[in-house]
Amino acid sequence: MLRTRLQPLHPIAWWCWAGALAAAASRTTNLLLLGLIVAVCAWVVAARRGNSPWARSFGALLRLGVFVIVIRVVVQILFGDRTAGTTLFSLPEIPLPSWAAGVTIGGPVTVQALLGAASQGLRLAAILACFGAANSLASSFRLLRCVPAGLYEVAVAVTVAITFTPQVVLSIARVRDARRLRGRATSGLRGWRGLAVPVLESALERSVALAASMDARGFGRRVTSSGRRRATAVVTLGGLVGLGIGLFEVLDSGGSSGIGLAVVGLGGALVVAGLVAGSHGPRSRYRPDRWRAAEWLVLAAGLAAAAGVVVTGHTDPNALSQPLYPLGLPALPPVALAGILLAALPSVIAPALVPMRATLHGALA
Amino acid sequence: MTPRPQRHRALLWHAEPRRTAGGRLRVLGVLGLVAMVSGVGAATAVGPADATSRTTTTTTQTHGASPTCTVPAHLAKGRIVVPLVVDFGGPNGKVLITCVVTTPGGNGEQLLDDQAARLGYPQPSYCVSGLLWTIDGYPSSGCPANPGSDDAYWAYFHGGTTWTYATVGPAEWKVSSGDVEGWRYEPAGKADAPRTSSRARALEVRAASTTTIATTSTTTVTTHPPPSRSTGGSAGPRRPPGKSGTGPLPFIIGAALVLVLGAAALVRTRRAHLRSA
Repeated sequence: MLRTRLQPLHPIAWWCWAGALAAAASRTTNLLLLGLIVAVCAWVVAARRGNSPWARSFGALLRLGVFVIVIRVVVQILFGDRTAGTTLFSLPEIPLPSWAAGVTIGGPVTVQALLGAASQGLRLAAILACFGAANSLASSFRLLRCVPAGLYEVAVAVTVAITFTPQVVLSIARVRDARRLRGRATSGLRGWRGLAVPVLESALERSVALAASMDARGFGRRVTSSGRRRATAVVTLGGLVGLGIGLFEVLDSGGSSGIGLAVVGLGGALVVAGLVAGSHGPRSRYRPDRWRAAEWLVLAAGLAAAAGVVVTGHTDPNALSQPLYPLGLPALPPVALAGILLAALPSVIAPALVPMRATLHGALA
Repeated sequence: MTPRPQRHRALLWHAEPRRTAGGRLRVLGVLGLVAMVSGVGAATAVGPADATSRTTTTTTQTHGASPTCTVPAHLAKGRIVVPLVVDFGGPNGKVLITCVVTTPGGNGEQLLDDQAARLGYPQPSYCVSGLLWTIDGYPSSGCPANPGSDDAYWAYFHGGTTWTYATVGPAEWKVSSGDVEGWRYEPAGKADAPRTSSRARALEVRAASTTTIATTSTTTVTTHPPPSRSTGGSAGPRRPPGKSGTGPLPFIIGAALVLVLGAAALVRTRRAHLRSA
């Protein structure tokens, strides 16, 4: 069934897989489950990424995740909510006026506060890892080709949004090389100081330039009357906004609110309607990415992780959070565990990329 | 139509004891990174929809709402007796009134801890965000992974002639002589004051013998028998349900899985790197 094929997996399949894993991560503070999600991402990336420059996105976002955890814990120690529990140490407390009630500077730091902050930081780091995995596994340029014609009006924003992370990773490598050639520091605080501004600037500039060149080549442009085009654009954008708000509500409340689900349904219907209405007109694609069995299986593997965590949230909600009162070891809910492990299957299901250099050597030999 | 409490979302972090401090923190902590990941995890600690600072819809908080404790003559020097009202909410909720002996400057959190320890109930527990979630083992469901998904919370009040919605959390509130502490579980996220029946207004510190206070040197005394609002009261304190720990085996299995998968990924990446170099 899954014979080898030259074409890589559909980029949207990778993004859906990573999105489902990120949704699973957003529902839990259980250190074991979050660690498993990061490990599964790492394993699939190790197995199925190509040797394209943006394949290094995963490592970069893992490092960003560690930074997020450190910042979260430091902020908790300095300004955190003074939670109950076993006090580790105390910082001098700065008294604040009564209008600043709810904000504290300094004070006792408890084990529970530190562990809670670390698990919340790890949750965000796991979401970042999923994002990095999608960037490493799916080519952002192939993804851009899948952007439907209905989104033409926001093409610049979409291009910048999709290509920004890979461009950051690329420009870090470029700026580092340039600095190394000039004999300047490339690591440590001094290295980062010299790195940050040129990296951000050039990444944004290159994303905008890419968007401009795609626009100049008529990418995604449709041959329809402008009135109809405007109507479909409004419908699509409205649907996307509704979809965003609805998904936020559903993820926040765990699907218990009917309003969120209704808004998701309505937004989704509007988006589909807009895309269908906008897709008319003569438009050809060169070697289009096909959606085949492997794509469905990768999508299902991602959804298994999300479903496992959501089901556990309904049957055993305590197992999803890090036990703090009293302190304890995180549980290992079997359903969530099985779902997350299933999400590692794309390391086998997805077609392996033929390394570029190997083919080149083969061609030259 | 009953007057609805006004919504003050923007001011919630002033009005609320614990909830939103955690939310603000988290927002600070992620330093705007949430924008990159579509805000997941940023706004879970939103306050109850109808919480307001002082407005309530119930009629229970007229004059003389708070109970008082009779201070025993043999009370050790430098100690005070603080009435602690815990209303478990709902139509059939129990109301537990305890006289806790403490020192001035002790905080509201210690009062709750002392009360639970004295009555043999589980200690209060908090969510990862720092939100107070259970008092005396209620609610038994534990803290949800996503506290913002539920409007229910424990509302915190200071008593006296009327109940006042607390502006700081129990850990930051220092009790002094004459204070009355009140908690009410709000299943619908409202800010109703604790209910105290008229017969519960004047309490006596009954079992407080001199020796008890001297030996424990911190706390309490005795409880008023919990007046149940009606038979079959559903909301009330819960005893801990036996031993539920499963031992460290699941944790070891899980940690081993994480390590094995991570190490395998690392080895595979290294190998691919060497091959391409």
